[in-house]
Amino acid sequence: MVAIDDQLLDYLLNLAKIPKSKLNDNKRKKLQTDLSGILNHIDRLNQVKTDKVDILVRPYDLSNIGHNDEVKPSLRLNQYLKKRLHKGYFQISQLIDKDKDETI
Amino acid sequence: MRLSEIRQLTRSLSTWRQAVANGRLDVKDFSQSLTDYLAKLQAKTQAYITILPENKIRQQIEAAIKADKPLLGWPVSMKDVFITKEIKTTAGAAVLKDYLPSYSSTVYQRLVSAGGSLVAKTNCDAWGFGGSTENSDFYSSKNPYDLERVPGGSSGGSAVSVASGAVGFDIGEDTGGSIRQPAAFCGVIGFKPTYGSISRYGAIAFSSSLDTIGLFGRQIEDVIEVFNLVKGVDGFDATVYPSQTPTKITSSQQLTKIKIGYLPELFEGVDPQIKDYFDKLKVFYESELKAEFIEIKLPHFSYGLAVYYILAPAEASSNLGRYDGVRFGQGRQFFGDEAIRRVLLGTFALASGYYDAYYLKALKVRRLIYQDFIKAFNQVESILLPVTLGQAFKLGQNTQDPIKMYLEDSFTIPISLAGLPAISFPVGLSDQGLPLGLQFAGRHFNESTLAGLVKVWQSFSKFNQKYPNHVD
Amino acid sequence: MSIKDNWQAVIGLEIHVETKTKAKMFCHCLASHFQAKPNTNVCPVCLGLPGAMPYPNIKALEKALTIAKILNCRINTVSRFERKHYFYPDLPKSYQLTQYLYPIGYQGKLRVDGNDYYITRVHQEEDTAKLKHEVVEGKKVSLVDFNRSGVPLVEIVTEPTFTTSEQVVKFLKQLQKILRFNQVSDCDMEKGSMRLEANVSVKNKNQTQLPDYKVELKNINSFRFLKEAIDYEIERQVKLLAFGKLISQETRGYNSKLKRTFSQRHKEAAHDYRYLLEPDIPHLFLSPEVIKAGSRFKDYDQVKKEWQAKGWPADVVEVLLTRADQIKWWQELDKAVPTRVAKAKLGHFLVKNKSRYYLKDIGKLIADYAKEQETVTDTKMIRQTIKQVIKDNPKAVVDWQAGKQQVIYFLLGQVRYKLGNLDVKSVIKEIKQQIDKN
Repeated sequence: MVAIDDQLLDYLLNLAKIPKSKLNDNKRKKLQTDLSGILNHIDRLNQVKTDKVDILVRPYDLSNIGHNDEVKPSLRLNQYLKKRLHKGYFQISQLIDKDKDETI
Repeated sequence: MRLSEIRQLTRSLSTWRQAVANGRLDVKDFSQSLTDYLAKLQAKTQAYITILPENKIRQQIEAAIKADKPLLGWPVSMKDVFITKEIKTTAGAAVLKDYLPSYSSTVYQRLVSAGGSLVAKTNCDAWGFGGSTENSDFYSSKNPYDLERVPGGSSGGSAVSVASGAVGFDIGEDTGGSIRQPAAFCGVIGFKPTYGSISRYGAIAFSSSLDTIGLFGRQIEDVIEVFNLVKGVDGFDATVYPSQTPTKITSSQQLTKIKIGYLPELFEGVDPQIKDYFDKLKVFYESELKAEFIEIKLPHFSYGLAVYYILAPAEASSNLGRYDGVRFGQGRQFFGDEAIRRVLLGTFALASGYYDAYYLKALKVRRLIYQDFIKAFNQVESILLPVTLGQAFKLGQNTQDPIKMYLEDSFTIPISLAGLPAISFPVGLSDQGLPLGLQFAGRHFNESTLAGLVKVWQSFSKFNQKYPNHVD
Repeated sequence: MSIKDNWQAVIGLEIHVETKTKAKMFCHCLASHFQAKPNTNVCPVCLGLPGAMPYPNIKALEKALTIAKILNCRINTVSRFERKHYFYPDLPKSYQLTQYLYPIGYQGKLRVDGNDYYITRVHQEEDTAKLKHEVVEGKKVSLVDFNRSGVPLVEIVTEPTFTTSEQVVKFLKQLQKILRFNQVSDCDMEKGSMRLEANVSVKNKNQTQLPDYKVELKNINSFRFLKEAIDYEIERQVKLLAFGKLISQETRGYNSKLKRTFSQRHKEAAHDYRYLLEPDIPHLFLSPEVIKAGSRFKDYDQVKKEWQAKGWPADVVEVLLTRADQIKWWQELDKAVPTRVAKAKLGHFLVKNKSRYYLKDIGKLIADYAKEQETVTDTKMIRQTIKQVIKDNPKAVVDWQAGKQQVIYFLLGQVRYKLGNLDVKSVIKEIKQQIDKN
């Protein structure tokens, strides 16, 4: 039985990139209570023996679906999307570049 | 045109076709009257997010009639999760409140090709998260049989739209019961076909291995006809089952002596009126079709909810990751409470350290649930079971307790996990005048048997002719 | 006795290869978008728009399968795609479609220069968008272009069995040749269709266990720089370890001007990628039939051996080995040139005049070659040429007068080079006559 304590909640909020500022103290507490309650119900799965059971990702069997390297015309961006472009690029205020944070 | 006339035309596709063929359909009168009615309906029930202007409705009808398309302009609404090019699409979420797509979903394209006229996009729980439409980031919708009650969810607005007679049918999406439950609450047919029947390309994703596009309608024959027009491969959704053939409604002769499974223990936690209706239907089918009702066992049925509330949020947390507000919409700070709950739950289930115990475990129990059904379908051809715990609950009743809300989906979820087809249909009214429904579940791609069973009841009960009182 | 004698480098590689297909990996956009305007080679899928879904490119998968077979991998009968989650502007869906638990190939090996190098895995994934960093209106921004988003990439991971940078470069060059030969990828480092990462650590020579850390060398776009970077890094690590210092697990880049590696990210916390088995893509069922049909390729080394055995010189066979689909033409040529001597000569003629004759009409090639082989008998021209050659080579005259007989053959060679085939005896006679006159 996992309790959603403050540390775990913060870890999850960070992982999901949900701004912590969205949650005041009351909301945080309610969230912790609700999530813990749901996990409590979910715990019943421990009663089920699954040692030799295969996973089921999708409810029926299909395989090898795809196309044969077919090219189709690209999307013409509509006004809504074009309004978001700056000289053709989507723009975002700079974050730390994951690859080029140079420190010699 | 009076409301009763509108309803006559939307009740049955054949009536609509006849009216068009005989020249009796005054398209302008119809579209103007319908537009007025939609506004009235919206004021009372808040079923819609977008209603198309009168001229657009009229143009669609005229064009479809002129081109002699199969549906001849029959009016239709769609849950607002379906991408419609240049028509606002929100999924009921504030993040997408002004989103104008630059492409169209397959199902919308096929609808247009078939000659349906889109009149509105319907309200739903944001992203499909919910069972009452109270989680819509815009407003709650109301049940047309009792405006203080919920229409169900997440496709609540769709159910209201069809129940009120504003449209011939509605295209919705069922992940854990989102078509079947509101259909039961609002007294219409909720058709959830086999997972992989209709392409999900252009349907805003909630839980990819569960999301199933389906239909709301009044008459099963119309539902099946439209189903045949929109299903099948499209080269964009890789999970659509290839080589599907047109579904026919199995005749009552062929259904004679059918074996129908049921689980008596399921009725224990349910409103006794639903059990009464079940007994009534049992007698009906035994006499009409000489059906044999067989008690079956689905040993892992009760674990469905737990499995679902790991897998669905896990997939949802992944599907909602793209809403950063850069290319489209607004960012995550606009997520509602239920969305935050589900995203965090899903993030947890996939996080390292918990992944095996939750996500992988759920996938294994999913297989067990699936196997239970396959085994059961060796004994029977269909299963008759409850859809909801009772009649539509009051607005605000379950909003503070998410778990209570989740429990409402106990009967619809296991069927979704196995990807099986199911049809929820009206069986009668409660003593408070609210619709009650039951559902038939069947084997993969055996919608014909289910449709046949519903048809027999429909002919007898004439549920397709019943309308709510509060939206006249 | 240097510090290095006690230490041994442990190097593993992570190679990304853009496979040659017309369309992207999960949609129908063009894979190649060289010089296209930003965000013009996109669709709902590779832009990550709401409602979009992936639809796999079977041809791309066949190329991945081919790479796995070339590297002698075991093939997973059931192979699946997964979502690898992390947030970054170049990842439109907030996850990358890749393979984690069930890659296409695993446990392979490639023999290069007498050494066996082991392959951990070969899997399919998709490329990210391109990011540019600029200052717009005084603010630092990142500009995103999704043209590249969704292009098919195959990732090849090797076991850490390399011990020197020379081995690494030999391996990579061979891999490049084989993949180009089989037209699986252009493996062009400059265009980004081959990207390299090396994991470098150092252990005591007597230690059997692998070191408990590794340093990732990234963003190095040439074999030469990679070699320099690896060499520098090994030395850097040896120095640290020799002085009893610990080495932090990190990512480092290479500065080719200063010729040293530098840290790019400190204390890299392990990412929690929350892998999710992709529900929108049915699994790949790689039965023996599917593997056979999907991975036809030619064994590079075998082809090389085969053609050299026929009598074609090594440098000529190198030309053949650039593309497997040229073999048909070579087979025709081979039939038309029966003797080993002729193959050698014609082969060199061909290589010298590649642009004129390669893959073109074989009859013309042979005719023109034969013409060149014709013995030149124009005595006036021969005399003039000999005169010029002697004039151009005064040292030869001095050597001849000093009694060095071999000089004649040198001069003969010069004359032949200018004129082609000659009657050797008479030309030598003429050379002697002229040189004696001097």
